[in-house]
Amino acid sequence: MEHSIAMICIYALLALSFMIVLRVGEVSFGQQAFFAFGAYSSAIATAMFEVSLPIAFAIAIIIGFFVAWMVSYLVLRLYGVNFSLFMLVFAEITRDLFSQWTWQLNGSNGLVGPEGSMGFARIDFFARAGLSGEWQLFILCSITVSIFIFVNWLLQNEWGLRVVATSVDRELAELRGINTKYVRRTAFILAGGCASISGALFAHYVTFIYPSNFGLMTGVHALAYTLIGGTGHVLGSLAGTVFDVWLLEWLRFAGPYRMVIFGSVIVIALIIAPSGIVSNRAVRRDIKLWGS
Amino acid sequence: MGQLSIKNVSKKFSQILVLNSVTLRLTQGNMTALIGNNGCGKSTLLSVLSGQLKHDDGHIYLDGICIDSTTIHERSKLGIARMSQESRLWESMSVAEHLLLVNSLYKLKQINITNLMKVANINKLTFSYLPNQLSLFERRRLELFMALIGSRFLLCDELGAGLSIIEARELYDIVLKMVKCGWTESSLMIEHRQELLDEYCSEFFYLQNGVIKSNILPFNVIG
Repeated sequence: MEHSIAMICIYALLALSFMIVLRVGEVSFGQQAFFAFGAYSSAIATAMFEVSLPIAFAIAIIIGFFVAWMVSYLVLRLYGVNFSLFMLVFAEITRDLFSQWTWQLNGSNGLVGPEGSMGFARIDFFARAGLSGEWQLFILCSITVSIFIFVNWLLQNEWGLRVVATSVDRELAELRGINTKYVRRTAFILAGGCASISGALFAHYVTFIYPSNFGLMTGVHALAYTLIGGTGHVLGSLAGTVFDVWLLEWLRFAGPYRMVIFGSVIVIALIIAPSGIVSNRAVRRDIKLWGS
Repeated sequence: MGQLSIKNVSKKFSQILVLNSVTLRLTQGNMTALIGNNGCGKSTLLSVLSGQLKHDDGHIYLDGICIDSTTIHERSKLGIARMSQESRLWESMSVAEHLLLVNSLYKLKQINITNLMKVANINKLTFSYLPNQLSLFERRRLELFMALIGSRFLLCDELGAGLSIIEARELYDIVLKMVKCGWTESSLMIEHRQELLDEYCSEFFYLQNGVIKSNILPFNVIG
């Protein structure tokens, strides 16, 4: 149960990252790259340089923002299928690089650091700090919830309207004075930051990461979470993740046929509710406009 | 006194010269008509003005400053508002969200917004509607309202297309009011209905083979 909740917190943030990119009208298959950057950078910070957790998370977010900002100059020139393909390739290159990269330092109990395809072991900040399972869960939940509230606030704001306008009709948005390049870039960077902090939580919770954690299937699963949950509201990502993680746990009785049943259930769910569990119309707020 | 003018603007599509050294100036307080045969480059001229198409030669001036290298949204912020020929709204956003968004971009004063909404006759009952729940006339009116909010120069491509003459007159009345009160300095209208142009426009540009012939009386054009 505790493990499920922790995994929901982590993957809901990753799903949120996919959702933000979906909001600007692009399908990304590569947010798991930022997930990897966040995981590795925060793990290096706490395990190799023994900095405190808030600083490590701040580093992860900044690295996520920075990498997304760099990549945005290349990828935001592309649209549609080209965008998806670029992100896919970018994520695979990132995973490959991490599986080649070895950099170890002598820590308090032996060598520690990323070791190529062997992964990065002993990210034991929680254990060293003596934090109990409840405390870990509390940290995970509070970070996830506060990021969800922040992103929701952004999306309900003027910026959120600009994002929607950009995705629905980019030329019209330009004609009415929206800087669509800026909107796309900020959304992409925000998505990178979300995935990155999600990776940082992941690395510290599971204490052992290896490059295959950041493969294509991680991304596709998170994309599926957000599609099942619905992209109209941030709660969609959360609902989709809860539904999927719970379903996967519950289906353990099916043994080897688990993934078959899982896939069928998701297909049925998407047929019944194509716009997701939390649809846009259900949460559409009544706007009080100019005191009317 | 602001003005929008283009000097010797040329535009080529591969080998075809669509605009051949066009010179044109929009003067304040006027509704100007741009007329010509199908495919003579009227819409291309508007696209060049709005920045959707880059011209090959010549310059565009706003208040005497060359704005050739500005992007579409920068020109929109400067006050060049273009309405496209087909009805275009953000289909997944409600009417209220359209208004909120455009208002957030131009940061008008409350009193201006209220007056503009009165002039454009935007009904508060439709606020929660999605664009596909509106009639074509209401859609065009909402589009016009959104364009007017930030406009100093309004470029309309077939504002009345698909509407009855009464509905089209209502939209033209809105534009005329805004031009007369000085909110919109001038407007350039493409229109196929002769009677509307006769009624509202005080200046005519006739575009033929990519060349502007100015101030031709409309009956000469129709012949």
